[in-house]
Amino acid sequence: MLIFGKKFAIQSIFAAVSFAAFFRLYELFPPLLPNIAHLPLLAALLGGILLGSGEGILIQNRVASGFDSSLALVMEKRLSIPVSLWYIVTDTLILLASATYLPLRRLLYTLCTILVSNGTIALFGIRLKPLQAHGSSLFSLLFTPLRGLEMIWEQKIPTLYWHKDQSMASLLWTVEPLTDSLP
Amino acid sequence: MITRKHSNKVLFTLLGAAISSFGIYNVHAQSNLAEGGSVGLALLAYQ
Repeated sequence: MLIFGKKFAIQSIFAAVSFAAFFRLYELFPPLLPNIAHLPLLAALLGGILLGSGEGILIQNRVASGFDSSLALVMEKRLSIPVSLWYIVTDTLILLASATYLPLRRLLYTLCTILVSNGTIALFGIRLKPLQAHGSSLFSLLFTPLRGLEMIWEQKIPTLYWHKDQSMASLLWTVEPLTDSLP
Repeated sequence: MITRKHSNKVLFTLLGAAISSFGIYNVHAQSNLAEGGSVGLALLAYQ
């Protein structure tokens, strides 16, 4: 827990506890927003914007927003597994597990909400590194998947990072944002 | 000694946690949307 220092640990635990406390508080009351389950695209957009704004505020304040980010940071430090690769693995596993209770169509909307929330986080002006680093284009990455995988492994393309001044198109390829503002 | 910087950080952490959990409870959970990361795990457990 103290790999990144006591201060970071305390701040992240505080963030996690307050998140849980707020969730419990909301649970005591019926949902405040009307049910938009029949409008899944709108739900994906709204959910993405809300989640993205919350997480954006947390990351901007250099607080790890969840257990997975902390675990990814530890894996990189201790086992030299790139954070990006770890995120791809855990997110795929979690989405596959979610497929047990969600039909395929809902999973597509899930992908949509993840893209929207990541985009919202990036709008908070967090400095993220570009996907098209080292002169490689997105297309060469798509057409040579093995080379792409190799580059992700070598972290020549840090998929998790996005630069503030980068175009929106490349932003959509951000798997999960994690800033170098974290320790 | 609690400085203004500290109290700001606490306030913003609370604000961030309040907004994101609001979204998850009112939108994701109600509309059956999954997520990645720890939020995805929480939603999986919530179902």
